[in-house]
Amino acid sequence: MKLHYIAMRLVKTVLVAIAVVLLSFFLIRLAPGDAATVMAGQAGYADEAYMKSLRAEYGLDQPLPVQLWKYMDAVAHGDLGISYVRRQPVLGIIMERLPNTLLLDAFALLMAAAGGIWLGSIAARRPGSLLDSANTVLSMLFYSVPQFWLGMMMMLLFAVWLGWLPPFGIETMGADYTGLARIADVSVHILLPGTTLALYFMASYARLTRTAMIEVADQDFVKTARAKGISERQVARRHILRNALIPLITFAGLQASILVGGNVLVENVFSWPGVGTLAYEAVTSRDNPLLLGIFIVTAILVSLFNLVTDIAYSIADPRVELGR
Amino acid sequence: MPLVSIQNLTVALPVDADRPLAVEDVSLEVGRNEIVCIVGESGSGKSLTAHAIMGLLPGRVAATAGQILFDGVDLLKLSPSAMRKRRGRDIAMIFQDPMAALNPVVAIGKQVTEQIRAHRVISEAAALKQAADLLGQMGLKNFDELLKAYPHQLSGGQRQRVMIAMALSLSPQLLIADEPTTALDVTTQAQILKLIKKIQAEREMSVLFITHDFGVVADMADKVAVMRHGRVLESGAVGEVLGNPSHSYTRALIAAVPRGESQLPPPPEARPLVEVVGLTKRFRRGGLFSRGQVNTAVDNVSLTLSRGETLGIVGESGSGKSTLARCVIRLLDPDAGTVLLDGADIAHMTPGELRPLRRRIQMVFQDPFSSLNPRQTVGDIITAGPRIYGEEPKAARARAADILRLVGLNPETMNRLPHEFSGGQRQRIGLARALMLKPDVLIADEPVSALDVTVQAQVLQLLDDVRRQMNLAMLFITHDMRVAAQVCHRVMVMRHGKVVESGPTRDIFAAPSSEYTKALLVAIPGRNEMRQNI
Repeated sequence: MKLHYIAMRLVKTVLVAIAVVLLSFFLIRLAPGDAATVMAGQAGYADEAYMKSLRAEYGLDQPLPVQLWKYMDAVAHGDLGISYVRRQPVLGIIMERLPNTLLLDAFALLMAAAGGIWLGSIAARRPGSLLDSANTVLSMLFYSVPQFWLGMMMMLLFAVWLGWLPPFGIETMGADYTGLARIADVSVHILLPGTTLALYFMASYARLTRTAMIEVADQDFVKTARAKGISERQVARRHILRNALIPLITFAGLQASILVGGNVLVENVFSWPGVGTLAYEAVTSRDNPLLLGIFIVTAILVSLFNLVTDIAYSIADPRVELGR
Repeated sequence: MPLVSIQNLTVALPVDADRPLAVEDVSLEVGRNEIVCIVGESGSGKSLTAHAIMGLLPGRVAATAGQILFDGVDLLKLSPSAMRKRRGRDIAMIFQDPMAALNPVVAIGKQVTEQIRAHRVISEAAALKQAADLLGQMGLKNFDELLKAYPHQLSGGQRQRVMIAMALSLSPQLLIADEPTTALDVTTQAQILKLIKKIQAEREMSVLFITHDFGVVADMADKVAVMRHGRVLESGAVGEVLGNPSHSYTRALIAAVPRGESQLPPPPEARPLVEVVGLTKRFRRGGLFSRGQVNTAVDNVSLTLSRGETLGIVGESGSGKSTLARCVIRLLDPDAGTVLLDGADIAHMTPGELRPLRRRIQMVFQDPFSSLNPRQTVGDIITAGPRIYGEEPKAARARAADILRLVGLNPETMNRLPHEFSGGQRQRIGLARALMLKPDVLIADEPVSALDVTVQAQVLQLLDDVRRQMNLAMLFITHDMRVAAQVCHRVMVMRHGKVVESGPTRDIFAAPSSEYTKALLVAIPGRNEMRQNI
């Protein structure tokens, strides 16, 4: 039953990927001009013959359905095409960048969840207290401030004025650290972009945890727990928090999807060499194959995250059966 | 010395509550090896008294005066940690709804061992063995599987047995049971009551039993205390209070308990207004890719209903009685069968054909709190139907005043919002809403099960009066045989979607033909005791 369900979900993931390819393929071509114009521009000169040879080289002179069919056929064989600008296989370029993005996302997700759940559970213990109100105000602040602006301010404060942290990049250029020294170097570099991303989501985690815990604390089984004579701390942890965390799984899955597809701004502010900066480059240089490739990889990742979320949910809550 | 001696206990409510004190000057004793019942309606303070003994009063509620002596020690003076050590070990508690009282995401075994290990140094494995033992004593089987199961996988009766096993795990001297059978089916209730009585006798334990049901009191109690508005009105040995109640409120409470004997004569012979033939309703579970399970909620049910007659549909949860009602009023589309209203088959009409007939069948719902729109005034709620059918708002409001008077409410209440009314008053509003459409058929789905027993009696009387005055055909859905006996001419007993038996109420109560109906009748709490006493 479970395997059957997971297999079906994977089939759906493929369908989603196909839909994404179709949609983005046509969307991208709605813009005036084509890649040949861009490449000619970069080359610095262009005549009709050169443009024609470029279009022939990349198959841009063929009718749209033929282009689409060729592209789909290639994608089905794991070939996402050649980047117009870099003249390298698209899949290779993305795979080189993807680990950096996943690292940043995982850092932001863990920090947001851990910090938010901690803050939320403190606030839930005494609703209406000073701590709770401060929590609410800070949450709203980080939630409403634009991320790129927050990133720039963090950079200004911690990198420029205080000089505590490196302002951009994933590691110190030219240092060529290895082993532990490299891990330490990356850890320092990830702090600013990671925290910028995390603060926004941390606010949501704190609000959700607070609401869920207050709601759960009212339920009968919490009274049962107290009637057993276990300590308040155990009541809070085993019974209240354990149940309050279930809805957060959905939110974490949502956050993972948003991060993997949407941290273009923060990656760019901090020059983080991830998929976000790559997407930005692809858009500005009209590198359609690269952009399409990013869309497809992102869409597959988002589908997988959704599946993982559903599986995690069914483990955390025994009342939920996969596929029901 | 009694085990528990409550002296002049006063429990104060927060300043913004509707009254200052929830419990006022209450004195009460629970002796060793005896069952004491506190009986009262909602708001009587019976439950808060019990919670005060446990030291589990809600956040802003506090005991402000008096003593609770437990084995000579004043529990109100204990430090929170000293009280915590006694909770679960010396005093244990079980609650009304065992589904809500068990943590939904923790396995049963873990929940039982948690209590044992909170007070004893013992390994998880040893505690689990002890838990299995306890479940066995509670009459549960397959306890190895049960210990690994989660609450939602158990039946209501199994869950309450688990709760009791948990409460007894450290052999407490006092068990507090707060309405432990109110959320259960009547046959399950009878089993749980029997179980509590049995273990009390075996362990020579003291039990404080909170209930609203004098039938349960008659079955369970050695002594009884009657509470109202936070005070104890009278208390004493159960035979004394039941047989010779000194307070008028106690007499009213006892009188309000339906007797379980039919008072209505058999129905007049008449041409049926509603004829249901072979009605079947199935529910499918499952999605796009999975083959779903099919659950036949109503299985080939037929019935007739005439003007001026009340047909009771009795069954436990899952019997299909509410689904049947929803199919008759066409809130659900049946899978097979016909529903004839005056000869026209409303089960297969298009929505357009059905609309003009809708007003002829109306429904009163179970929960008077969720069935009225909280943001609309009573006037708007009860005139909405007629206005949709084109009645002038002014005329509708004039008629609404008459109808409100008919159901026993002041017409001036029309501009108020539902939350300003009590449960019984809201149920009257729900009835007024239905009557405004001048229906021929009234379907009442558990209309009194959310109400206190004295209010219950009033609403049942009102329903019967209205039925007579307006010559209504009434379909009365209930899980309670006693209630059915009071208002129904005929009764149909349902189980697992099928009709078990049906006939005039008198005959069914006097000589039930099926084993199931017999079991339902035997399960009525206090059946024999109440009869002897009154």
